[in-house]
Amino acid sequence: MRICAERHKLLWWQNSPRRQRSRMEMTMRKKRNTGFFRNLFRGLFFGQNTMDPPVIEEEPVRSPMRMILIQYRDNKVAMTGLVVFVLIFLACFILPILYPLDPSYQDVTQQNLPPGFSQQKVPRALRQNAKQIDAGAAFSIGIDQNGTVYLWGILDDKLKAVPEDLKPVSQVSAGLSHVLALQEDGTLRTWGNNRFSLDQVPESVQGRSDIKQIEAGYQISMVVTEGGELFVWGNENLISIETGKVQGNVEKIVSNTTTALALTKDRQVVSLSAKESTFDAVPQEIQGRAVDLAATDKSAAVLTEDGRITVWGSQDFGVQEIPQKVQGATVAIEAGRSHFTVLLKDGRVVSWGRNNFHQTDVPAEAETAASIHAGYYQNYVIREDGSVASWGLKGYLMGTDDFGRDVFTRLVSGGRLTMTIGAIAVIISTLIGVLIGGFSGYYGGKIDNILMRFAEIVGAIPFLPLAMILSSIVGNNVSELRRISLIMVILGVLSWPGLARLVRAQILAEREKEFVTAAKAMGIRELSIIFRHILPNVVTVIIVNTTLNFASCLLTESSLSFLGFGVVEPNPTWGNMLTGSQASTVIVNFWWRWVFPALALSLATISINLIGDGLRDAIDPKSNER
Amino acid sequence: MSLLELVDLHTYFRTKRGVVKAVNGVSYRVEAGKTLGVVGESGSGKSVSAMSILRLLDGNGYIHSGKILFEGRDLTKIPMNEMYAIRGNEISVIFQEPMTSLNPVFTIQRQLQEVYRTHQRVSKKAAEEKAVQSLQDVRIPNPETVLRQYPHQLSGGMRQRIMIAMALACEPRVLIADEPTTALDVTIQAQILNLMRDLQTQRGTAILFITHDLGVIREMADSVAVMYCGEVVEMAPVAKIFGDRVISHPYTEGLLESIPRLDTEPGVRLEAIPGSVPHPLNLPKGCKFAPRCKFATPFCREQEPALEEVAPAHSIRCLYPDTEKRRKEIET
Repeated sequence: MRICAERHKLLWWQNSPRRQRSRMEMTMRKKRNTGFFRNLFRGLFFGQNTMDPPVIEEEPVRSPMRMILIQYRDNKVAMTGLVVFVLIFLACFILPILYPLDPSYQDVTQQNLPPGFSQQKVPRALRQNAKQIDAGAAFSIGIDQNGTVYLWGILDDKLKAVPEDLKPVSQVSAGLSHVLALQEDGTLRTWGNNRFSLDQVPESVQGRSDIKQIEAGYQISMVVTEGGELFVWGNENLISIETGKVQGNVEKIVSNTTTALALTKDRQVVSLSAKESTFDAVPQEIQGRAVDLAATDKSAAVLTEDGRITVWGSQDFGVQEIPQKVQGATVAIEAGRSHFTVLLKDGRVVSWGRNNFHQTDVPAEAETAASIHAGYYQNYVIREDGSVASWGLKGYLMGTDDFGRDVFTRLVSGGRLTMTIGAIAVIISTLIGVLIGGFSGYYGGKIDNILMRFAEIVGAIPFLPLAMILSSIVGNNVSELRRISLIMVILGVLSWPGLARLVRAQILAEREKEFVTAAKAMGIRELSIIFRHILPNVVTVIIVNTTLNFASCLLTESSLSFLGFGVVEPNPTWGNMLTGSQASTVIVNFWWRWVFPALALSLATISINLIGDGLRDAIDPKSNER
Repeated sequence: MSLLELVDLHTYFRTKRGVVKAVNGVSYRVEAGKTLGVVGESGSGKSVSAMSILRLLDGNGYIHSGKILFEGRDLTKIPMNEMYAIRGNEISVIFQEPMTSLNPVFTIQRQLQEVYRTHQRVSKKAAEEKAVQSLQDVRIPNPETVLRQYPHQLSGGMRQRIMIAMALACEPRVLIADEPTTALDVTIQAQILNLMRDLQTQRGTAILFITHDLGVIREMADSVAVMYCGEVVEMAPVAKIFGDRVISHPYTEGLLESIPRLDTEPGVRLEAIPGSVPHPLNLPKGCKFAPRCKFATPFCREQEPALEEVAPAHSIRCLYPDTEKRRKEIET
C-alpha cells in the first residue's frame, strides 16, 4: 500500500507545478540522512528513526562495517552501554591530567574522611560576626563576638560533644581531632579525641586563670601563661618537645606535626625540638627582632619588626619563595601544613607554598582582612565587620582512604591503569589468538592439530594460581613498572586460547569459499590470503570477542590486585583500591572506600559486555531472535 | 610447441579409504589464440586437471606424475615463488560461482587493484585507471560507480564480468574458464561467451574451457577433449565431434544424444546414458565406460583400451571407434 501511495505521490509530483520545489526537498532529505551522529543520538534518545522514508533515493554504497554500525545504533541497550563506557573511558584518561596522582602522597591528618565538601561551611550565625577561627585537620572551630563556639566540617561524635556548661569563650584552637577553648574567665576547656588524655585539662593547668595563648596541635595541647610558662600534654612521643630551654619566658608558641617553636619575651625564636631538626637553624639576624612566627611541617617563618619575613628549613613546595610585595608590609603570619599566609598592613592577604588544595589561591573577597587564621589546608579571613572569607581544602568528592589519599584521584588514575593493563593484555591475547587461530584454521592438518593441542594446554593452566606464583617469585625483585608489564603479559599470554579456537573455526569455514581459491588463482600469497582476505571476513567475530575479553581482563586484573598479587600500592587500580574492604570495619565504617571503586569496576564491566553483546547482535541479526 | 601442454598427468587425492586417482594419465594441449573445450560429467576429472596446472589442489591432492609444460617449463617442478608469478599473471582462472568468487568485504576496486599491484609494479593511481579500463573492456556500464560497490550489490552477470576483468587484468597467455557460465541464465551466458570470444580475438589468449554443456563447447571451442573417469576418451577438433561422427567414442555419442536438438520430434524420449559414473575407488576392470556402454563386449570388460589416433588430430580411447562397425557388432 505504501509503495502504491508513494507512486501516486510521485506521479502527482511529476505533473505538479511544484515539481521544482519537491526536488529541492528531496535533495535536502538526502543530506539529512547522511548525518550519522545526528541519527545516532536521535536513535538513542528519541527511539527508532522517525524520519519519513525517502521517496526515491539511489541505494547508497554501504560497506558491511557501516551496516553493522547502523544495526548497532538502533540497539538502545548497547548504545547506552557505549555511552557509559565512553564516559568512564574519558573520565579515566582525561581526569588524571586535571587531577594528577602523586603515588607517594600520604597524609596522616586526612585519613578516612567521608565524601563531602563541608570543611569550609562556616555556620550562618558565625558568618557576619566572627571573632576568631582556627582550622583543624578536617574541621574548624570559631567563636563569635559573644563568645559562642561553632564547629563545622567533618566532626565525629566526640568533637560534636561541646561541653554543656561551656561559658563564653575568648580563644579557640583546633588540633587534629580535639579542640582547646579558653573561657572568658581565663579557664581552659578541651574536648574531642580522648587518646593521650587530650580530652582532659591536666591538673597543673586546671584552675589557672592567667592563660594567654592556647595551641591545639597534632595530638598535642600547649598552653602559654601570662608569666611565660609553657604547659604541654598529649602524645609527647610523636611530637618532640623540650620545654626547659624557654620555660618562663614564652610569648607565643606554634606547633606542627613534628615539633613546636617558641617566641620568647625577648623576641627570640627558639626551636623546642628535643631531637636535632631543620628548625634548629634559626637565622641569627632575626633574633631579638621577631614579632610573630609560624611553622609548616618542614619550615618555619618569622616576622620581624620591620614587617619582613624570613623563612628557614625545607625548601619543598616553594615555601621559601616569599613574594616580594609582602616584605616590609606584613603584620601577621600564619601557616598550614605546607603553606604560609600573611596579612599585610593594607588588609590584603598573600599566600604561598604548596597549592594542592588551592590553599594559596587567595580569593578577592579576602581583601580588607582584619585577621587571618590558617591551619592544615584551610585559610580563614575575618574582615573588619566580622564577616568571614575562606579558601583552601573544602573536602573530598569521594572521601579519603586510610592513608589520607583522595579516593577520587585514585579512582580515575586507577581506572587508567586498570584499563591500560586490560587493553594491552587484550591486544596481546588478540594478536596471539588471531595468529595461532589463523594458521591453525588455514593450514589445517598437522599444524592445526599441534597448535590446537598447544592452545588446550595453555587453556588448561589455571590462571590465578599461576599469576600468584609468578607474581610472588618475580614480583618483589623487579620495579613496579616491570611488575605491571608482567601482569599485562601474563594476562595476555594466558587468555588467547578461546579466541584462537573461535578464529580457527571461522577460518575453517571461510577458507572453503570460492573467493579464497580465486585469490590463490590470482597469484596472491598464502600469508596475504589468510590475513588480508580471510581475516577481514572474520574480523567482526574477533571484535566481539575482544570486547568481551577486555571486560574479563579488567575483572581478572582487579581480582589479582585485590588479592595483592597484581599492581601493588601505592599505584592505584580499581582492584587494589578494594583491598581495604577485606576488613569488615572498612565495609561498615568507611563505605566510600569500597563503594566507588566497586561501582566503577562493575559499571565498566557491564557497559563493555553490553557493547560486546550489541556488536554481536549487529553482526548477526539472527542471534537476538533466539 | 604448444603454449600449454599436459603430458600424461596423474593427479591423486589421498583419502581415508585409499588413493583416489582423479586424473589418471591425461594429456592435452592448448594452443595460443585457440580454445580447448574439456567436457565430461561431474567427477570426470576435468576441473582437477585444470586446477593441477596452477597447483590449486586441495590439501590432500597432489600431482603423482606427469608434466605440465607451459612455454617449455614444467609447472609441476618450478618453485612456489615462480608459481605465484604465473598465477593470475600468465595463467588465470575464471570460476564457476560468480556469487562467491569475490571477497564479500572488499569493494570491487580493492579486489581489482590488488591483482595489478600484485603482479605489476604500478602506482595506486595507475592501478585505478587500469581498473576503470578493464571494467570498460568487459562492458560494464559506469565503471566508476561499480568500482566503489561491494559484490553483494551486483548481479551475477556483473560479478562474472568482474571476475573476467580480474582474470584478464594482467593479459594472461592462458585463461582457464572453469564452467564460467553454468551459474548464469542463458541470455547472460550468451553475453559472457561473446565477451570472452571478443577478448580472445583481441588479445590472442589461449582458453581452456571446462564445461559439461556441449552447446557451449560448440560455440566456443576449436578442439574438444572429452573426459571420463579421469581419462581423456576422445580428443578431436570441434567439427569432428559435432560432425558426421563416422568414428567416435560411445560416450561422446551418448552425451550428444542426450541433448535435445531442434530437429528432435516432439514426444520422442531423449536417450540417456544408463547408470552413473563409477566410484573412483572402485573402477571397473577393462574399459571404464564398459558397464554403461550399450556396445560393450566381453572383450571390453577385460582389456583396457588406449587412446589411439584414429584420424589426423582425432584420438579415441575405444576398442571399436568406428560407429558403423560397432552397430553391426551389437546386432550380431
